[in-house]
Amino acid sequence: MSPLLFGRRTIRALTTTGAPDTSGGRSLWQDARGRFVCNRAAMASLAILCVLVLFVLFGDFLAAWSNEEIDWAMLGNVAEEGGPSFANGHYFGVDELGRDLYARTVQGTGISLMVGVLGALVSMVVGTLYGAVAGYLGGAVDNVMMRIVDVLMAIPYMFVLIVFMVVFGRSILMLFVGIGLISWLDMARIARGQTLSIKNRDFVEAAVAIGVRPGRIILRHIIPNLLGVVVVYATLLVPSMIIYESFISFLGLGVQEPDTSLGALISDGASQMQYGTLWQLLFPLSFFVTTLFAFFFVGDGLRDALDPRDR
Amino acid sequence: MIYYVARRLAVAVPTLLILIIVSYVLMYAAPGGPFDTERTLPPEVMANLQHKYGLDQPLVVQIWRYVVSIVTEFDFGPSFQYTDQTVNDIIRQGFPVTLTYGAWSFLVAVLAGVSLGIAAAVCHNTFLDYLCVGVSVGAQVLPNFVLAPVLTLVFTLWLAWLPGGGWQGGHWPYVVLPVIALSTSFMASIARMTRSSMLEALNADFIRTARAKGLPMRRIVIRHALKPAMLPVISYLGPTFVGMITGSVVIDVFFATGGIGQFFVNSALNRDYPVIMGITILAGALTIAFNLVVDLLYAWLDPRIRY
Amino acid sequence: MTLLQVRDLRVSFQTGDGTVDAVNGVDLAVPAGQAIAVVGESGSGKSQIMLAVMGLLARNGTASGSIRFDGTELLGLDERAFNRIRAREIAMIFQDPMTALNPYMRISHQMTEVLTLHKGMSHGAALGEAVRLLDAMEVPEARTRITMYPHEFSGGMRQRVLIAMALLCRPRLLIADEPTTALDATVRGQIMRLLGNVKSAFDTAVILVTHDAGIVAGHCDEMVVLYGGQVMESGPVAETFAAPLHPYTRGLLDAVPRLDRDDERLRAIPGDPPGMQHLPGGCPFAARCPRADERCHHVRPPGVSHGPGRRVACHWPLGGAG
Repeated sequence: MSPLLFGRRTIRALTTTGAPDTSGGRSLWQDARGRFVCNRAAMASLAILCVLVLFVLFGDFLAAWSNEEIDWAMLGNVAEEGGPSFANGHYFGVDELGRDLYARTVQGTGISLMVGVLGALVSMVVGTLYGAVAGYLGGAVDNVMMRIVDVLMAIPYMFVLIVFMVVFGRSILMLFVGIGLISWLDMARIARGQTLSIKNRDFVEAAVAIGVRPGRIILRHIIPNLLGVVVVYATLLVPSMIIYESFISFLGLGVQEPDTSLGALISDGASQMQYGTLWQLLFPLSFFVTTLFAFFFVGDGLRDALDPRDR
Repeated sequence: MIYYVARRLAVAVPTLLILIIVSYVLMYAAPGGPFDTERTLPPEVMANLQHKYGLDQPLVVQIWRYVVSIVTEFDFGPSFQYTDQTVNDIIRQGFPVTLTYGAWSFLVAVLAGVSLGIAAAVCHNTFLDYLCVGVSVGAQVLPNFVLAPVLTLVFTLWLAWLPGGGWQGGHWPYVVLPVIALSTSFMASIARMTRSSMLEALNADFIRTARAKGLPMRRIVIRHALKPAMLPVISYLGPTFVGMITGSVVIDVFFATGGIGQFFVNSALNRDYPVIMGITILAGALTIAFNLVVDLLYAWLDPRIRY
Repeated sequence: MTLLQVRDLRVSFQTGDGTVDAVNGVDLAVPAGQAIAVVGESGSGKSQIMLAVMGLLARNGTASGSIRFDGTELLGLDERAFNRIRAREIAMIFQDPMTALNPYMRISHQMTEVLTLHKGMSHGAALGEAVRLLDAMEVPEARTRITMYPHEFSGGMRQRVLIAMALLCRPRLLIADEPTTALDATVRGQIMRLLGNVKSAFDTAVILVTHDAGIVAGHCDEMVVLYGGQVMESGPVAETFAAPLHPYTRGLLDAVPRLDRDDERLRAIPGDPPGMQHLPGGCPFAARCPRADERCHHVRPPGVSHGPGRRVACHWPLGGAG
């Protein structure tokens, strides 16, 4: 399930873009913003993402039907009359139960985006803290902590995630927690690598010299300097989180009715396509593909902006 | 070399044990047991069932028994749901199916991906190169559960060339769509990776030396650049394998191949713990074994790695 | 007899920021069996000239003018024909021995493939020849060490391997591009001595490319001084050292520590080399030249003959009325 979401170049970029160097002239962040703005694909993708967020937030106001309401007039002859139509308010048509697909797509996109962003956030927090602690303390602690990561990485996480969902019950909250908990491993490795290069810098040694305690050094000095790298990686993590969630929902093990996500909608559409209700497949599919594309291009753009040397 | 293998095994075995223990504890802690059906069973019957499956023992004893029976007899216990079958029966039934199209997918992904990537790198900035980049960017947003319905739509519903499901003992038309659906995204990733590492290799100083030696391009690519270009691809084979194992669940469910993934999802929906655990552990063991093989391959190819 | 004749060579690169002219009309002649030094600061275009001779310019680079080797025009030669000249007729050694050898192949394989390909030798015969050359380059225990990988050799040893590899086919011209720059000072002398032997022992002409005028003396017959992709001065080494004609050559030589002079101060040339994207219309050195006048800034001085075998491109050459 993990097609290569970020190549070696990313990892290298992530591990070489050190802390922002604010000494003299334009800062790294200003430079990066300049380059990002010049990247047309990334800017267009950012605009698309904004539109998608607006769609999720305000799409319901345009909907003539709610996502749970069943249009009894449609039930039974969905294939003939259930197609996209402005006349009856079903802009994207209805699903096999006569529910408005537009409202369901709004909801599904929302849940997919939310799972993606929150999952990335969870993994960002857990992974950064874990990696920073391991990298900063070093020695045996580092060794044990990273061995644990190695061990966890060798486990087919999707199976464990499904086990997790089965055991603790299927809910969106469990999805957030489960996906977030599984995906922090890469983040921890990257954060550790960065920490190793930061911890010998002057400002950290100065803090050590005046007696600042390790916990405070990690929170105040290490982590702020990891942020650039972590943010880029987290952006690239969002689409993979969305893919994980959709994967599980596609199998019917994710979100529960009447809630839905893009993966569940694609699954529904796929199971109905032999009856000719193609809109059921194609609308969620195009939203899914567009969202992923947009996130990938934004992530790529951010990476290129922070690591310009390799174009 | 033997020391290296031993050290890798020393990590692999505990990993597998941890996987077994964690999944067992998760199952144990789970609210709702396997026999919580719609009809509430009489307490005596319940106790009997619990006893029969050893569920009335302390947790430690249960885990110990479970591990021992796996290690000594390769026995994952009985299924709760398919009452007349053991987990082993289910694995024996479903695994060959999954293995068949899984192996084909792996082969296709690696061979096609590597060839496409090399061709793109050698013909840098030509149409072929742009095609390779375009395909791999596109395939990024087409994970197997998106590709499978689209393929079925085109090749089964519209063109009626290939069956949209079933297995028929692995007759080839039934294998084609699962293989394409499972391998495409990985093929694209491998192609992209091969392309960039091959480009990097072809820009290396030692390639300039080889050109100064008057070697023809074909020989330079094959003898000098291929090995360094393949190393990152080889280390990506591990994640590819995991991804394919995971993806096979979707393929089994969508194409109703009767593979192991179908049993897994059914069991997950029915809380058939022994089956879920058995399949998870099998997947974990396969992954760990495969990663070991990949590591050894890598060490064998890169003379700078010390065992 | 002139082995290599370079006439009016120009090399330019198309980059994202425009065209960069790295070499601007260079003439160069290498007689058979002689050692020529090409001296210049980094960015003077010296390496690009050599890559053009080998047909190894980067993809975005183009060369014009003429490069004739033993009567054959090399510019525009197709890859297949060029591969018959590389290693067999012209061999090249690169600057950094740490990266110039393939880290994934045994030394033996890297060396024998040259012989099996170009000379049609059997593997065994090729291996024997490779060991013989490693011995000649004073690689200790060549017979056993030849089966090792490059990372098992030190930098100096790798450079010896590269020289041996370049000489496998007994080329008539060996180009050494900064062969000692990446090495420790203690190893430099040994490598230079070996390269010096090559000329007589293998009857091979040598082009030594360097930024260090100090290593030229005693190893080369002629020297060519490059600046801004143009030839400033050329002539026999001894005479050029004794009485440089071009102010830039004088600056270069003054920057070399010498034991035979009382004056202990090293003089650096003030200023920086020009950016190759916007070369001045006149003499490229004018901005840093103590003798420059208005004409130097606007008119490019042509190369003129100045005594036997010597040429200089300067409006105000030293040691003469000009």
